[in-house]
Amino acid sequence: MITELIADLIGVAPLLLLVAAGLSIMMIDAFSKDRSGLALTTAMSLFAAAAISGAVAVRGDLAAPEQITRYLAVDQFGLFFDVVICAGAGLSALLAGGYLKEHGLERGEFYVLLIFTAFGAMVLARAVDLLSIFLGLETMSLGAYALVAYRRTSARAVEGAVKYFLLGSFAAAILLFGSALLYGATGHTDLAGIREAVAFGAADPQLTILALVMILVSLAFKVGAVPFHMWVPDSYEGAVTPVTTFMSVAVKAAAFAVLVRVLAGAFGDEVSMDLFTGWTPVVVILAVVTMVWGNLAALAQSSVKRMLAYSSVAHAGYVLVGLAATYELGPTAVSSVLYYVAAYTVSNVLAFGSLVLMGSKGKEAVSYEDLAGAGRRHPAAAAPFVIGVLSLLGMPPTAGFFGKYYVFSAAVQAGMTWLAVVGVLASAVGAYYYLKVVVYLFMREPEEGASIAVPMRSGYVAVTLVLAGYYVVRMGVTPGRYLDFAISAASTFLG
Amino acid sequence: MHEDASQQLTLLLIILFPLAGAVVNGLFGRRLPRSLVGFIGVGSVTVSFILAVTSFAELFALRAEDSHKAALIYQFYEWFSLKLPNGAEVPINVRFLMDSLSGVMTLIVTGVGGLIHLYSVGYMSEDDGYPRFFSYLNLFMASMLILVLGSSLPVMFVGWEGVGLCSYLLIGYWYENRDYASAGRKAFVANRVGDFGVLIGMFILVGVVGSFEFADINAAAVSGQFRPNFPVWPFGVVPSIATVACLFLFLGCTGKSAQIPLYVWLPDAMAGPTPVSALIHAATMVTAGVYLCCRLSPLFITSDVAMSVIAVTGTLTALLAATIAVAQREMKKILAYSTVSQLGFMFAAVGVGYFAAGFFHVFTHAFFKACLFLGAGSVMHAVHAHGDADIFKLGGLKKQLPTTRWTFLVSCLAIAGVPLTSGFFSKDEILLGATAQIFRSDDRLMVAVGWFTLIGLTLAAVMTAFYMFRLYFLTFTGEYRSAGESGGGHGYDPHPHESPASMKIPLIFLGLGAIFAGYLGMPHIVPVIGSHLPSWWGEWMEASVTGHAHPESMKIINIASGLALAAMAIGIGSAWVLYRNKSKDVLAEKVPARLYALVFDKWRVDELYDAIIIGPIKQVATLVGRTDMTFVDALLTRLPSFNARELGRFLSRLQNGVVQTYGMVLVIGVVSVMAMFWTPRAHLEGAVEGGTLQLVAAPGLGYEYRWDADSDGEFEGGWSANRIHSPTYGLEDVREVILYVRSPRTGASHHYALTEQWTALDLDRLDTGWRRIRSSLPIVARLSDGKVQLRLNGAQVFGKTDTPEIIELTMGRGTGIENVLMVPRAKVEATVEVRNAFGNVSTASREMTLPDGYLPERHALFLDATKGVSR
Amino acid sequence: MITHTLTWLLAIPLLGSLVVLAIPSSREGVIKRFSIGVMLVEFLLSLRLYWVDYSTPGYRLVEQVAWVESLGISYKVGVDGLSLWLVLLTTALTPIALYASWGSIATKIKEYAFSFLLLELGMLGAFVALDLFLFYVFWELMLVPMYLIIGVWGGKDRVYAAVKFFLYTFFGSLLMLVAILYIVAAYKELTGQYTFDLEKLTTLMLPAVPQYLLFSAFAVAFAIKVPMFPFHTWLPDAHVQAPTGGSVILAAVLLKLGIYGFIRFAMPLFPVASQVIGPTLAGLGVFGIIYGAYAAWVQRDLKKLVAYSSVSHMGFILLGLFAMNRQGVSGAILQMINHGVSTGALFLLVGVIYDRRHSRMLDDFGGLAKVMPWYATAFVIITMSSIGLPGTNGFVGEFMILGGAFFSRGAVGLGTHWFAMTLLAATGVIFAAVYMLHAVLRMFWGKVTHEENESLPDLNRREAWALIPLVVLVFWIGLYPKFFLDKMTPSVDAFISDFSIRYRQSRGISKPQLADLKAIDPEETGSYVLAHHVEEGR
Repeated sequence: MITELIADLIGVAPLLLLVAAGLSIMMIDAFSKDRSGLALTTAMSLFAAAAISGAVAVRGDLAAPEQITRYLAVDQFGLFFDVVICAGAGLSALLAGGYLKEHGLERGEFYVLLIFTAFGAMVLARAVDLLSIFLGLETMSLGAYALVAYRRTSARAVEGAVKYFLLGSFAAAILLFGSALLYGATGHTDLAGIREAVAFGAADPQLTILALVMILVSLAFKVGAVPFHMWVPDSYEGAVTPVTTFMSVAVKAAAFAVLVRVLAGAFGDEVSMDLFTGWTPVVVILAVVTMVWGNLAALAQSSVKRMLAYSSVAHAGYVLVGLAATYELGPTAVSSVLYYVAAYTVSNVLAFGSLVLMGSKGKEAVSYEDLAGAGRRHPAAAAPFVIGVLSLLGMPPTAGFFGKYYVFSAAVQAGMTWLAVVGVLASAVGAYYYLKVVVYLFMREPEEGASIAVPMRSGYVAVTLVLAGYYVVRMGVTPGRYLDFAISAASTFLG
Repeated sequence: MHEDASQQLTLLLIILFPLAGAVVNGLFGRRLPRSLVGFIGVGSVTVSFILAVTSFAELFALRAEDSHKAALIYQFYEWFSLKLPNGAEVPINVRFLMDSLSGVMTLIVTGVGGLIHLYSVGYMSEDDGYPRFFSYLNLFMASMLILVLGSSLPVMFVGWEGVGLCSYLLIGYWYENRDYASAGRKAFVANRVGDFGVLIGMFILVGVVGSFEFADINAAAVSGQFRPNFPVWPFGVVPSIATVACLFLFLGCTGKSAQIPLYVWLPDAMAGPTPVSALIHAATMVTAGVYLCCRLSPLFITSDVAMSVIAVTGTLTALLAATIAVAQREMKKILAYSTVSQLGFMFAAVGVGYFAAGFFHVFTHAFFKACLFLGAGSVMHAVHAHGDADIFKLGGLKKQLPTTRWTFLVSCLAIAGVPLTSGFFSKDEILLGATAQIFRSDDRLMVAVGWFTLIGLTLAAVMTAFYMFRLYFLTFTGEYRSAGESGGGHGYDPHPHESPASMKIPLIFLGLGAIFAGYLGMPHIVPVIGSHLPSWWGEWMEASVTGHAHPESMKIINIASGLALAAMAIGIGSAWVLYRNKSKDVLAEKVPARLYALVFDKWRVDELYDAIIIGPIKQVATLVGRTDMTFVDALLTRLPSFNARELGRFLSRLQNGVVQTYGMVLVIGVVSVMAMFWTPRAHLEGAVEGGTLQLVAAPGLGYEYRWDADSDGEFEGGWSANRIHSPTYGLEDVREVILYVRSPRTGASHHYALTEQWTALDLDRLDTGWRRIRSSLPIVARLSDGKVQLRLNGAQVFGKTDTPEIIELTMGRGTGIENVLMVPRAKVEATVEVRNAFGNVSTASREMTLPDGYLPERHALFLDATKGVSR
Repeated sequence: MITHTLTWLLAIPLLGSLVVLAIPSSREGVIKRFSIGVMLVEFLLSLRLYWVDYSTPGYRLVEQVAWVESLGISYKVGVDGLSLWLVLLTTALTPIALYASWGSIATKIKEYAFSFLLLELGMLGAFVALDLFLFYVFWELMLVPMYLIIGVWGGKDRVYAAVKFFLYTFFGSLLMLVAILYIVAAYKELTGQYTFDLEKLTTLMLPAVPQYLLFSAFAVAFAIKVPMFPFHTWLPDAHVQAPTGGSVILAAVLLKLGIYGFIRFAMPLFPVASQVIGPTLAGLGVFGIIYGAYAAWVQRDLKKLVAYSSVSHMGFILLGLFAMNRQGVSGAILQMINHGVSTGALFLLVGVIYDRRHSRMLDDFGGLAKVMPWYATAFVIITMSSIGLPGTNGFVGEFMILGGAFFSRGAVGLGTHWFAMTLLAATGVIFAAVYMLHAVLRMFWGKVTHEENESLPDLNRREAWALIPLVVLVFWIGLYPKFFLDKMTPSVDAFISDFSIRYRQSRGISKPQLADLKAIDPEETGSYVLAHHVEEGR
């Protein structure tokens, strides 16, 4: 009895920890003027949560029951995403620590919002019931809306937030509707039950299909797959860079988690996955459109931040390639998705972090021009940026390369060689705009009279970059451990 | 292979000494005193001359004890090796061989070369590139000796191209004058064109013989290995391997020995210092081509075609060059063209199968032509003419330059072929050869060639005598035409002076040679009298050079010598009349001016080449250079990148910031995803389960199916949930009959839909490796009452020797025709109709060949039409 | 006695580069000396490879460590007679190139040295990798430093050239990546285990059609690197813009990786495809010989001229390679070394004059022989080697290659299009003389036309020391090639016979299967088998 309770507690420990941290930070913010510690506290608690999840995942004996009630899972899959989300959020928090201070936007609620959004993301990633999914999604989204609008004074930020909110709530509505239909069709709200109902044909096909479509669409919106990506560039650009970072890693990761849970879980049976008649072809098409559109659009950007926004769209496409392969490969494909998300998280943090680093009080670095010649003047500051873009571009030996390799390999093994070809061609296009960063950093001089962006001096940012850089290289050179984690997570999820 | 022969280190040393001299002078020459440089230069060559003499003596001794194939050999090391398709390994040895042929050549090269080195000491004394000059000259000696002594084609080729390099360097020796430098380049490129031929010839020979050694090649030629014909892609069939090989090699000879069409470089080569002209472009290098022909005489003589080509080319060259020489006004130019013409004589001799005679002319020519050049040099040195000397500004030099004058005169007599001079004997032999061919052969071609050669050479001989004495008279008789001039201007030094001893001695030696060298090769039979003479040369040479037998009939001999004498007399006579003590070009006034100008401009051959060969190539090159960066690059890099960028621009313009648009796009997305499920997607596959064919339709949420297995339009049974259907087919269900044809080499296959009409199977498209040999008709197939008929048109069933003209096949049972696999198979078509939850329907139908199954579609790459029958 | 030689060979540049990063960039002298020192140590160590016995086929000094176990990725390296000389070429040329660069590179010495060491790591890795994944990693790793070298220290249009170089090669290699994935997937499907181990994967035999596609994917990647017409257009830009050192390495080593890729990966993996498509590539090579020569002839920029001459030379190598007989293949490998030596030297020489006059235009020169006699001498010697004068290295290579092409199929090589190809290729020998001597004429002969040329200093000590080893090699290879050939011959023979065995086994199969290399008695040598198969239909 007691032991079970303890087990349950261990299972939800990371969540509890975050709640506690969030509340206490509110307190600190309310009662103390000194905000310099907030970022660190936030990051630390997030990292702690990540550590706990990691430990639970590794130490099988700690492992709580597969589920706590019927709403939250404590499976390896969920824990993996806990780690990714918390790590992403933590790193973003550190970035914020440097960024907000530099630009005088330091306010306590930021970190609270960040933590609670992360909390929502984790709930979403662990949710195994339509209700908890919706709950988590909303928790996460609300936080995200607020974070995007964090810089109230900036029109762009508000605009981005509003758009995000409008479309986001639209998507949420669709999701809710879809869930309702699904319940109607199957009489279940828990994914496992739904799966059985669908698999044994107990579900009313008409409703089931409608539900599938709606849920698929709303989640595609969350991961920012074309054509449901329209909100991405504006809100990413409007938000302050640390938030953009957070959105592009933690929020996206959670969205992917639930996407996989629903598609490969609830609709994971032969028929509804089928290569011709199931959701697989939809995902394939989404993947192709997303990769091509994202990369081509990124090509035309003159703002690095916007370019990275589009590139994150493109990367969603690569992940979908892995998802599409699930029909043939099952766990392997899912593990490729997981690994890619993790790799993308660190690479993206590194890239955005370097962008943050490149600007300072006077001038935030946004466009390519702002970077001109920076590498020549501050090679040390530019180095992480190079590594970051190379990883996003998929140059060995970086995490990004291994991730790409893994998803494409999944596609090829699933017999979708052509999809892999499309993918690599798309990333060949990507090479151009990622290299453009290097070109401006090292091979161009700023125009006469153009105000030069000076790298900021901030321990927070420095630490972020070091951490992210370390993992980018580590996950590229010795991917073994992380890979095994992803594989075990995937296999426990799909059995 | 002569592994048993003892190593002759001297052969190596003969080469190494000049090489060493070249290296020393090249690297340290500039720091050494001139005297020492000269000493090293001359010394090294002298030493190798002495060594050459000793080893020649050795060879002589060997010959004396009548080991008829006597030869000295030095095997240095193995360079590298080739491996023939039959697995045989062909080593390329750095291996030197001195036999009667290369022995004589070595003596000429080192001897004449030594004298010319000595001459250069004086001649180049004022030049500041002195060490460079000697280092080049020694390098040339080394390469020339490698060329001569090399016992195999590749080793010879090293020297062959080495001398080319040296001649390039030495022609452009005064490189500050860009014309000289480009003359050098011209020489090198022209030679390269020839070398290309040698290279290919080499490969053909080794392909047949399996060895690079001259000895083996000749042996093979004698044993008739070169007879067979073969097709040359894409030219169809050519007579014999020997012809191809010889023609390729001869292309090389035309380059090196300045024959039509590649002779144009030699006249320009006179840009080099006079000793160079004497050594390289008269005595030694340019005769390499003749040497090669003699080396491989047993091979050449096996191909009448090649021999005729050589004879005709030689004669034409002799004529052309002679005509040009008649009109030139500069000493070295005249001598250059005379060299070309004399080389023509030599090749004519080779072409009529008188190799020994041809090489004898090489021998004598070396003396008098070298002597003439050195004489010219001595004149120019005397009057301080740089580069070349205009004979119309000279004259009457016999008073000031007695030695030069006498030696020059002697050589003129020799080259004109005045009896009892060396030139007389050699030229006589050549004409004899031509005459002999007319009477020997009864083959029309050969006779014609014989006549052509004889007449052509006689005319050339006339002109030779004429222009040589024109040169002599204008230079040495009459009065000195630059006497009035004051040094500079366009005239020459008013007070010519005889050259130093170092220049006179070589002149004298060579002059003596010009007279007496000929006695080595006196004719076998004296004309008119008809008494036999011992011809040392003939029997010495026959050890390593074959050739046609000498005629015995006096008629032939008399004709030949008669013509030779007549030609000489006419030539000298007319020159005497026209130019003795004259000071202007009398001939120019006698012939029509335009013709004279044309001849003076060397028939404008260079201009012709520029127009029809070099010009076009240059234009193509320019075109390539331009298109590469514009067209090719644009197509492969700039166009794609441009498109990508524009597309990107377009897409990001859709991102217009208006939230309504976003919402709309979102809705569109929803609708289109929905659309993918709205209508069912029917997909049908055929699979073989234990011999029975199963039709499998793709599953789908709430799908229902109904089947029409033979696609006759009516469905068997109504809607049901089962998506697997296994019908049975009879012949009446068959849609069409397909004949699968499969290539054994690549596994690629084609199929043909058969009808009652005969259809031809285009097997070549398959690259089956099998060509129709027996008949030009293709295999045809048709359908007749459920069976497939093949008309083979000469092809055979695999493994059988005789097959009926028409064979029949039944469905699914394959057969091999030649090495091509053919399987006829029946095709049926099945259709399924699918209905989904929304009540929408769609159908899928599939053609299937019986009885084979299919792999799942996603293995399409692995999918092979003839699967299951390929065994 | 050092073990793990190859690992050390890879470790030394890596560690070296890290150390260089640690040295403060103000200490330029130290950085220069240190980086050169590292490379020399590397070179001395690499010499050990020569004393390994290659007389029997198979890889030597093999090291294998599991890298990513779950995906069958392993760190596997080894050398054989095919890669031996390329490794040595790399370790020998890199220090020379870096040493020569110190004349012209003035800014950011540290980054330059760093890139160079990284570059060496990438090149060596690619040459010794026996695991496709590892190979791909190194293959891509090379791109970045080269990209930086061109883009940062290059000439006027350096950015364009650098990006073009990067994108072009990156694009090619991505297709190769997919092809690799495909093979691995097929192997997995057959054996149930993942592996990237080349030796394992070469036992996989695919049907013709997939072979064609996969081979083409590899071929594009390699042909771009070679570069083979029409994929060569990045080369002139890259060469012209790159700093001297960069051009030297690019020409001397990087291009070789394309050919090496064909030998080591594309041909063994897809025998049928390379047997069928190979002649076409050889044909393109021949076309490239003439095309490159023509283009080189009309260039007015000396460096561009040399760049196009590379296209021409690499055409020869392609021809020899696809002739698939002993002299063809070993000729190709030898010619790779020759091209590395002579073209490397040519770029050095171009750099010499560029440092003095900051121009490479032929029109700006003339009569230099008077001013810079030693420079002229060196240039003419290298020219002769590059146009294949007997006695120099170029001749041996070209002779073997032409011999290879000539005897590629059947006895006298006649009656096949190989004869025509040999003829055309041999004309390349003529054109080589044309364009190189054209350059020599414009550069050195004639009067000194520009007064600023009148007082140019001759080769200085650094330049001389950079050139001397190359000149020595020119004659060494030219006069005693056996020294080099003997090491590679056994491997070449094994390569050919394995190839033909696989070719025969995978010919006409309809679904993937594993080869058993013992099935055919090894007596049958490659060229024989191939010839036999061409004959069989006749």
